Formats: sequence, C-alpha cells, structure tokens
Amino acid sequence: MLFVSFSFLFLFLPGVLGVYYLFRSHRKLQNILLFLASLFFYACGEPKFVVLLLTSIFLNWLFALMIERNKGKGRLLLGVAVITNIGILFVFKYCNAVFSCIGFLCGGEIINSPFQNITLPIGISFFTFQALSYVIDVYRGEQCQKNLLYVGLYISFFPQLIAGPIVRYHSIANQLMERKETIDKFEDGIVRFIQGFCKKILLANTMAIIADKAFNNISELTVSFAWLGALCYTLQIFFDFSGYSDMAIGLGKMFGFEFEENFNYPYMASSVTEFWRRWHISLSNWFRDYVYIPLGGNRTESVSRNYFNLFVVWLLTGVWHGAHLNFALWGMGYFVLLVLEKATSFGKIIQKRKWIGHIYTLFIVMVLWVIFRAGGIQDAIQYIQTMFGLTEANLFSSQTWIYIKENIVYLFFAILLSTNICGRLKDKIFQQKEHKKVQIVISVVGEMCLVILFVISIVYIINGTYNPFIYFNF
Amino acid sequence: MKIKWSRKQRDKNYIITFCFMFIIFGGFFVQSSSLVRSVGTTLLGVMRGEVSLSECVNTFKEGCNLTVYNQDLSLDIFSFVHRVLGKHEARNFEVIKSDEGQLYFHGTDGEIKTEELQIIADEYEILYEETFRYGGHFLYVQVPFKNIGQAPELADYSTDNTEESENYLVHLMQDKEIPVLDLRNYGKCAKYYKTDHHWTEESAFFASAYIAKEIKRIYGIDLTGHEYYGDIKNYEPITYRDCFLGSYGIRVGPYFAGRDDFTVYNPKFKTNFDFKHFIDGEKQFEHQGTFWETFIDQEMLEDSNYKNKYNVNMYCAYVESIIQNYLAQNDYSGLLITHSYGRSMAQYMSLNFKELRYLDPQVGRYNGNYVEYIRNYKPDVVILMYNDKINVGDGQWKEDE
Repeated sequence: MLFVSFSFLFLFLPGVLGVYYLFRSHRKLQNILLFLASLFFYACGEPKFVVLLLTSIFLNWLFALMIERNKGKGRLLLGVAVITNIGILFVFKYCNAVFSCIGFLCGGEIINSPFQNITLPIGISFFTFQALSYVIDVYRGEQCQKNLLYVGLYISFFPQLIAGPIVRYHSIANQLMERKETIDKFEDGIVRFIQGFCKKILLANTMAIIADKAFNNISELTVSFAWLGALCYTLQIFFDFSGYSDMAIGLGKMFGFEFEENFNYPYMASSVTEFWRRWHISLSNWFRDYVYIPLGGNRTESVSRNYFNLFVVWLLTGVWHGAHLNFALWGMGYFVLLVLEKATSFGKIIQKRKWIGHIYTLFIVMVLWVIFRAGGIQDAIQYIQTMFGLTEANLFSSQTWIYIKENIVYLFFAILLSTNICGRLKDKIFQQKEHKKVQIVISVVGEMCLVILFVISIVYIINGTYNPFIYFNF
Repeated sequence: MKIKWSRKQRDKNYIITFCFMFIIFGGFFVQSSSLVRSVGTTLLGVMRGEVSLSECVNTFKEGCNLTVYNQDLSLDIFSFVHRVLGKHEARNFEVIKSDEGQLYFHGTDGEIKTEELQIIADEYEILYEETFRYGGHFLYVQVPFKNIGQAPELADYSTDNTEESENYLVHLMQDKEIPVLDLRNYGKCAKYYKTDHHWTEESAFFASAYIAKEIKRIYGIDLTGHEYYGDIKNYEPITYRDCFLGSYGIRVGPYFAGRDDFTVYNPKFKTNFDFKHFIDGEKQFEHQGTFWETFIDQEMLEDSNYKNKYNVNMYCAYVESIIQNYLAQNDYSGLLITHSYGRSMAQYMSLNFKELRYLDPQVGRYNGNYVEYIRNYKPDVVILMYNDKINVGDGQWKEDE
C-alpha cells in the first residue's frame, strides 16, 4: 500500500487513526492495533511476505533474548543472528544476481538460481537492517525487549516499514509504552505528512516525467536534454525519498512517535563527505555504527586500513540499493571521492571556498545519480558521454526548452525547496519578536496553502498522474 | 525553529487538524460504500474458494480505489491548475494544446508500418473486387484525421506519422486502381472540435456532399437531389453553446481544454426517415420521422451532465445502422463502412440514398465478415472510409489487435 494511494489515505489512515484514538487510555490495545494494522499494510503489497516479516520479527526477538540471557555465548549468537538476517536478505535480493555472475564467469553459461522465481519483498532491506540493529544493540548492552509484540511493532510499524527511516530501537523503546500524543504533535505530524505528500506528488512525479524521458531515450538525447534529465532525476530522487521520509515522520507523530530526521538539505552540502551527513542519514548512521566503526573506523593503525574500511562501507552502501553493477559503481564513486577529500588538499580547498565546494558537490552528485539511474553500465557511460558532448549528439534541442517551459513552475519550486533558503528566511522572521503578527500570518497562510496543495495533490492522484516510490525497490 | 504559541496561535493547530481530518474522514465515508462492496465480494470469493489470498488483497484494493467522489470537480481542479500554470500539455504530454486552443493527442512516433498498410490495402482490394463482381460501385475515401501534425507550432511537442501513413495507404490504393477520394484536399472537411478527435458536423456535411459528387464524377451515378442536399443554405444551423467536452477535453478538464459549441444542420426541407440500429443482428432501437426526430438524440443534447455531445448523432449508434429515406429522389442503396467519423456523416449521406447502411468495423463494433455482408446486401455503392484492418475472412483481422 502506498501512502499516496486512495486506499491508504481514505480507508487505512482514517480507519487506524479513528480506532487508535478510540482506545485513548489503553496503550496496550493501541500497540496491538498498530501492529496488526502494520501487518495489514504490508500484506496489501504482497500478502505471502507477511510470513517473512513475522519470521524476521520472531527470530530477531528470540536472538536478542538469547543474547541477553547467554552473555557468554553472545558473540556466537550474534554471529548466527547476523548470518540469518543477511542470509534472508541474500536469498531474496542478491541470490539471482550472484548466480548470474557465476554463470558469466563460467563462460556465459546460464546457471539458474534455486530462488529465481522469488520476487523482492518490498522494504526487505529496511526492516532487515532495522531488526539487525536491534540485535546488535542488545549484544552491545542496550535494553532488550522481552515482549514480542513490541519488537514486532518496532520492526513492522507501517510509517517506516517500507522505506525507512531506519529507526534504532533505543530511540523509540520508551515511546512504545510512554509516548505522549498531543494536539501540537498531531498537527506537526499532519503538516509534515502533507509536506511529504506534496513533495512526492507535485515535485517528484513531475521531475520523473522529464527524467524518464531522458533516461528512456539515451540514444536520442541531446547534450542539453541530458543535463536537464540528470538535474530532474537529482531532484526527483530527493523529493521522492525525502517526501516518503516526511510522510513517515509525520505519520509517526500522529501516533505520538518521534523519528529521527533522514534528510537535511543534502544538496546544500559543500563536500561529498557533508552530503552523506545530510542524505539518507539513518542509512549512513547504520553503516557507520554497525560496519565502519566495528571495522576500526578511522582509528586504525594504518591509513590503508582506514581506506579499506571506507571501501567496504561504500561497496556495501552501493550494493544495499540493489544487486546491479550500477549501484556498486555508484558506491565506489563515492568511496573514491571521499578518499580524495580526506587524503588530498582538495578537501581543505573546498572547506575554505564553500562556493567551489557547493558546485563540485552538486556536479558530482548529479553525475553519480546518472550511474545510479541508468539501466546498465553501458547506458550510464553513454549518458555521461552525451552530457559532456563526447557523442555525436546535438548540443541543444527545442524539446529541452519545451520541457523546461512546460514545467518551469515545478522546476523553480523543486530547486528552491531543495535548498534551505525558505527555512532560513522563515527562521529569520520568527526570530524577530516585534513581528509577532507577521509570524502568525505566515504560519496560518503557509499551512492553509499546504492544505490547498494537499487537495491539489489528491486531485493529481485521482487523475492518474502518479508513479511509485523509487526507494521501494531497495 | 520552534516558537511559543499564544492561545490564538494554538487555534491554528485545530484548523489544520480539522481540515486534514475533514478530508480524510470525508473520503473515508464516501469510500465506505465501495469498501463494504469490495469486502463483501472478496469474502464471498474466499468462501467459494474462487479468490486466493493475494487476489483477495487485490480485489479489496481495486474495490477501494474505484470510487472517486465527484470526478468532475477533481477534473475541474486538475484542469484549473494546468491553466494557471500556463501549460500546453497535460498528462505527461498525452494531450497537447495548440495556440488556437485545439487539443491533440500525442502523435504516433517512428516509421510507418508499411507491411501492415500493405495488408490493409489488400483487404480493401478484396472488398472492391467483391463489389465489382456483382456490378456495384466502390469508393475509397481518405478522411482528414485530426492529428498533431496539423499544428506546426507543436512539432517539438510530438512527432506524428499519421499523414505519412495515410499517404502511403492512398498510394497503395491508387496503385491497385481503386477509386480514391482524398478528403484531406478539401479544407471544409478538416474542421474539428477543439476538445474532441472528431470533425465538426459542418465538415461531415461537406464530406457527404463531396462524396456524392465524386460518385457521379467517377461512375456517372446521379444520386438525384444530391446537389440540393449538399447545399448548406438549405439547412438551419441549430447551435448549443459551450456544451461539448470531447474525448480529449474529458481527459484534461474544461479549464484547460475550453468547451465546444455543438451545431446541428437541420434540413429546412421536408424529410422522412426510418432508422434502425442492430447489434449482432438484434434490433436495439428504431426512430422514425423528420431528420431531427430520426437522428438527433434530443435528450442527450439537452442533458447538461452529458458532455460528449458527438454521441447525439444517430443516437450514438455504433454497430450496424440501417436508414430508409422515404422521400429519396432515387432508388440507390449505399453501404458506408467507416469509424465514428461516419456517425455525423451518415445522417447527411442518407439524404442521397433510398437506403443507406452504416457499419463500423472497429473492434467491438460490427466485426462480421464484410465480404459476405456485401455479397448478401449487394448495395449500389460501397463507400469505405477507414485506415485499419477489416474482417474480410483473410485471417489477418484479429479481435485483440
């Protein structure tokens, strides 16, 4: 079920909200309701995979319990837990690709994977990582939840189940029993949900039209359209994913939960290092805490070992997105750039001259998104060659102008809202105490505009202008 | 940053919350009937063992997604937003608006399908030969389809091979020495509703007149009275203003598309017809009387909720229509084989024949064997105005294509 579908918006959400607040003083009942609702939400995507989700919940609950009770064998049990989780992920996500690879290496023979007919369970990477973080945290001495229902709710809670943010158990452990629902929080949640909803429907989907046009016709691209396509995909993936995160955070708030932020204006970063502190924060933190630091992080004896640690993290980050060479290459691209920023004086130059850093970061991120989006390595190379005029493609086509002209308003707002200009402006006004009335007007008008945009977004859904979330594939 | 709200400011929270809850719970109550229906259907299916678990969820979701309360209002808002944004395209370049306000569908790209056109031409030749065999007269008419190529300013929005494809088919027909009337050469026949893919009543009227003239020119058959019936001065234009939102307009809404006037040319002279419509040989309806009484669906024309007024013509008959003209000045019979463009034309063309039959060969309409139909009916004139495969029993025509 998609957050931007009729069934979610007009059946699931009001139904769950209504029953949830009917049980206002019965926290346990509320949690049971949220758990069951989450399972139903997941079942709407692919009912048979509910069994997989329940298995994951049960096993990780059991592993955590056993680790806590058998401290001496904790390491062994953790190893089993990690292998089990990664094994599940491997079977469903990577097995087919690995068998194809083996076949390729064996002289192009087709070797059928025993799981070739298995489809990718939606959100498997997200809930597996979330579950794994819980077990590892328990091994590290964090609180263990004995109640299966709460572990189940933590792993399967529908706002963040499909595409994150990847929530750490200790960050919501207390909220599971002792969260407080207030009208302020509820309203915050609504605003956040609507913001995400509009980002997805009005901006991401519009950018997708241009990006798809570019990436689906690489051989016919002109240089100008290639750049426009790359820019639009850069905006699309940001509004698509951050829109989903906003909706997840907003929904969490409506039920009294507070999730951590997943994005912080990543395209305002002045270095690739900073970009990754702002983009998909929960995933970066996960890799930092559960891969990079355990490998030794940057406190290693040798520089080469540190680079090796980075290499592993970025290879895994790339591959986490899917079993395609593109993703691995995309991750490796970031590895090279991070090492460049770390090991050479270039990092210092861009720190001193921020504007150079901004341009460089945006440029790099855009080019790497091309690798990420393209159908294959060949396509990616051809696309990038076209961007830099290395093919016989024309420099400009009037089609580029038409696509810009037709979507100029969306492009303007997409670029504007991908920066923190509006936020800074708002903060500036809100800091001045003498402008109290202006502040109220801005708040009320701003939020009423959001409601209008929400209605327009619903109209866009009714009229069939939607496409699915990019991050559902991962 | 977080700011401290006063009581008045806090009221804002309730407003936003109220608006949001109103929208989603409003939607919930509207959807609930659909929900009850789909749950009922699904449960019934599960109990009967006809629905599996995954189908069960899909059926449920489909049921939930079907009901859209006040689709018109939603289309109006959609349309209004596009107009405010000054867009020329809607729905991912599916519908494109010219500077004159004409809507066009995204064109067909790429090379024309010459092999398929050859098959089509061969099929038409079979019909021609069958007509020739019993002494009938055959005319192939190339209609000027509305296509985006007619708006040069939209060349960068979409390329289109319609005209190229039409040219090729006309060329093939001429090679086979089948008489062709290319109505694309007649400007009066190339006027279209802004919001629809069809030609106007006026264009259909003139097309009928040109066809009658061409039949006389080629075969010497004088459809007595055709000059009088083909003179527009003998008709009274009756116009319904801003009532028509055609097939393109209905996709993008009235604020983006605008609306069309709908004009019917009603004969000033005396007329008396009988018009029957058949589906699979079964009579669906019959109308008799004057031109207006026989062909124009008055109820549909005056129904403000019904927007696609083109269907007013011939009561939206779309399969097999048989028209008797009791006041015809000749005894000729005609068979018109064409798509929906024929619906507005057949009513004017029927003035020129004692009996006119109109068959629509599109999939789901009259899909019987046309060779057999001609063989059994033996009309004096066969007018074929079509550009696609037709069932002539050669095995090329398939229902699912």
